[in-house]
Amino acid sequence: MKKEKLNTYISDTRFPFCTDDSMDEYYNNIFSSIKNILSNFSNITPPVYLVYSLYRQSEIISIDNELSIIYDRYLGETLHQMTKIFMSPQEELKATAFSCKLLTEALRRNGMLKKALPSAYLTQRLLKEIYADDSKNKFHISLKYFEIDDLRKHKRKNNEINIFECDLLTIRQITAISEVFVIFHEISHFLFKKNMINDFIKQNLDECEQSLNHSSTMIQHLISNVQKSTKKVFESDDFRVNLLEEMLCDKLAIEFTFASARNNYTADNIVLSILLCSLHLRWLKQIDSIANCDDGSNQFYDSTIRGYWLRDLLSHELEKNKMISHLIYKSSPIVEQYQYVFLSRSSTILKILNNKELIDESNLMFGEYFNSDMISASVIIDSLIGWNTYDGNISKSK
Amino acid sequence: MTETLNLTMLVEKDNFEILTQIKQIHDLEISVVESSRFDGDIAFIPIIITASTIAIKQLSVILQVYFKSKKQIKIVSKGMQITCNSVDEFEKIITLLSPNKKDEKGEA
Repeated sequence: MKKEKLNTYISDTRFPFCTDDSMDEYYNNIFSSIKNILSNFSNITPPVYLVYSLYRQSEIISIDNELSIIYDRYLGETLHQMTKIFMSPQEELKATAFSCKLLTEALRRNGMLKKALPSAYLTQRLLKEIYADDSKNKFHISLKYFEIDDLRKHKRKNNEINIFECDLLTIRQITAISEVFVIFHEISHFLFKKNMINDFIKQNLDECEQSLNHSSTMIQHLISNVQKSTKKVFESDDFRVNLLEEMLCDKLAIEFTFASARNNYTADNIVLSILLCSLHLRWLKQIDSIANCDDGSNQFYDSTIRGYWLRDLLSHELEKNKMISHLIYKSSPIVEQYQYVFLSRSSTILKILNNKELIDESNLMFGEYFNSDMISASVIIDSLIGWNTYDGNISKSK
Repeated sequence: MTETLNLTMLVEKDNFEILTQIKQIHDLEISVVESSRFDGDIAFIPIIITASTIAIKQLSVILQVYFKSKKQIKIVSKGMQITCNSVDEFEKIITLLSPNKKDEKGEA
């Protein structure tokens, strides 16, 4: 019965999706290292359910007191693609196309299929332009994007990396560490709610609150035209409590990630991966805000404060590991490049939502499918952005 | 034959009293999903309901009061969250999700 409820939850919250019962070596390694760390900490060893879906979230859930980890491989794939695009800032069209794809997915997740059509249509047009010589949507790569053998073959003697000259292997390493960090962050939430990290909270809460107060004062000074209503939400207890929990979970997740990855990667590599991962997640949230038509101001406060906090934590980690790095400073080249590659696309994708010409053209091409049949409409959206879906199942491209 | 429906629903976080009422319905099982994701920044709690058709009708009655106080529920299906503000909307969605429903038509 518990399994049946879990299946109901997974299939209701994720669509289109496929489950992947045969955990490959890549995820086996990731999850055994995660379980190792957890076993030192507590006797929790929750089963892992791998899925691949548009929902793109990792989640720790408890149904009838039974704990499970649900991990969506599409999150790893998305982070991987975003890092690849970030590393090629000259290819602006790819950044725009990928942002359009993400916007379409966010709208589709919210059931706003008609609204998703123009951005889906534009995504397809841009992809055709980018990959004129190849009809295959290269954004939607094989599920096995991370071949473990590649790592073994190419393991470096000198594990240092140059952030702006990354090869595919390095990007794969960044993806692997990012996925570990994301999963540990979710696990930390669970430990938090189950009162299993009370000592950790006691030791770190003061530091967290100081950082929150300092950052919030700084942000409010920086932005003079903050609306009163936004300020009210921002100063509310709920907002602060949630934010403090997120910050504590970030801290614990960083500690876990270092413990899990330090044997295979340098501190610099781990720091770079976590930093990029947090920027990617921030951009994904921003796109969700655009799709939800909210002004994103709460999300802006939340992610800015967490951004400062995370970079401070990562600086401490580097100091602990006796590393001197230029990566972490608040005006670091990474953050600047991120602004250029992704964040500056906000206005572009906002315009897409209201572009009459694009709306008319896409309606002319595909509007007939959107009149009454929800399934046909979603299949059209999916196919335009490179998802091969049928009856709610995703065909795997190998 | 009695039909059973499995349903994932989101209820507003600060309205736990509705869960107590729902739990009292016969032929209806309810499980609260404790999730690291939904508990974070979203004001709703996911629950899984396993219920017979008759029990679902009783659920509509309870929801009528809930909706009158301007509360929402969201039904999660096929990866989408569908907001319900009234019993009519709730029943319409339930009909669409019914296992006996052969075609899957709805408004795009």
